[in-house]
Amino acid sequence: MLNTSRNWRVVGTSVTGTRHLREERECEDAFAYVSLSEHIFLLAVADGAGTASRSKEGAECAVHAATSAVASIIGAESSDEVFCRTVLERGLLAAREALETLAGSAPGGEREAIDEAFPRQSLSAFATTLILVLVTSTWLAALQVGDGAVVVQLVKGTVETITKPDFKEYINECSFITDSDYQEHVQYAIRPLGEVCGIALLTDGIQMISLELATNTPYAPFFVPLFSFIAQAKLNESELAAELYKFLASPRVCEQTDDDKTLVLAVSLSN
Amino acid sequence: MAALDEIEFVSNPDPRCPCLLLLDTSGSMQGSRIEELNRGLQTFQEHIQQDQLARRRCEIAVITFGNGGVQTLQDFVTADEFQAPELTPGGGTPMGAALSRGLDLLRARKQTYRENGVAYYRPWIFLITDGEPTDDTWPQAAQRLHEECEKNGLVFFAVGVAGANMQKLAQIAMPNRPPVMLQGLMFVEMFVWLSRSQQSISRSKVGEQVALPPISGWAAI
Repeated sequence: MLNTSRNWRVVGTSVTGTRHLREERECEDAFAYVSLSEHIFLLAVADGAGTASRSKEGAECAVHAATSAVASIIGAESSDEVFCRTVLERGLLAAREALETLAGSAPGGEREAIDEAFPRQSLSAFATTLILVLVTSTWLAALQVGDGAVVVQLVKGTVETITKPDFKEYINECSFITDSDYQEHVQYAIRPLGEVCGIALLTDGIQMISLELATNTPYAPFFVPLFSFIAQAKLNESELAAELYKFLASPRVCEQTDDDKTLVLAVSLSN
Repeated sequence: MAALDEIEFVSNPDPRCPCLLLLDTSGSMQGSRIEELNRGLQTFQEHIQQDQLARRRCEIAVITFGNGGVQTLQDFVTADEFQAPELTPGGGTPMGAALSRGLDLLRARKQTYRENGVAYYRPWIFLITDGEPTDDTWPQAAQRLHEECEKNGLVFFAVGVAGANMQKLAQIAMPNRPPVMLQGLMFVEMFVWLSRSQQSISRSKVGEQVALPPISGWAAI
């Protein structure tokens, strides 16, 4: 899936993990790209929890609800820093509410009682992470709950993590937007867009091969060739997405990680 | 021209899955009990070392209480380096002091992981006894254990061998994970279960809670 806002090229793909293939489970990641105007676009990825029975629906619902909510409130004019944050938080709230609706849960304090009465429909069955990125003509703003990361390439050539994997103390336990305390686990970052020439949103299936987990530092020999691959003019977006898919499904990658993998990349073509 | 085959991967250290064995070597373990426990430990070593991932990720430590008081026979090592000890029984049952020593060892291990940027799974303490604490510090040790468990610091399992004071063991263990009675002297089966459980945990991914294999193969119902 792909498209191009003016000056930016966006390519994204999801690949089902080899373990999910073995267990005949579908890919529980989801992603979305929405272009709002020449200068404004949104990216979202979500990773449905492996243990939650309906997390695929949860992940799909979260990315669509969040991007739709942001799209409906953002204007075409350039937005200030405070507004970017407010808008992304509204997106997160919309995702949470959409999951509550999906789960048939009542908002507010009655939820637990309803969960008990309808355990199959409990919110946690739809457990998912969410990463939401807004690019305006002046800002790059990112919001994240749970695992995964947003990595940017700066014009000066370096790569850095602006939101990072938020596993709790233990590596197999992480935050989801369906947690009751999800608002305590929201990461937010903003950068002047002029500094940024590449953006990557990734789910945890890609973390192990692309980030030094001790410090959450992005591994430049992973990201730099990736961004320059996407920036090349020779291939169009659908060809690039097909190549990216082949790469993520290749034995070389799957030997390292058997989880679902989603990567959404945006590169500036003006630099 | 940029190509995707130029991409290199970072190599992260394996996440670790710590498991601490607290073993009763008091005088009452004399005879077939200690023999079967030793055989179980040997099986544990062989079984866990067959799993390529668990060999690197599981870490095992052994503290005994009884013969020689409280002894740290083995500080945490990865499973591939684990050598099953040959235990000999004797003396009392200083379970409280052993529990305190174990909690200290675990705390130090987590600190080492953090300092080295190594991710880890929730640790297990696995206690085996055929008696009851003979030291008077056990209530304090149990309280410390409960505090740790309540903040998800670890998971505690207690196994009683025939003759164990199960009521006291129930006061030490967490109410949601009461002590289990070993069926006969099925230490080998119990350690195979422990090895399998550790293998599943060491494979688990973010967001996953591992379903443990059933304990019916070695626990008395």
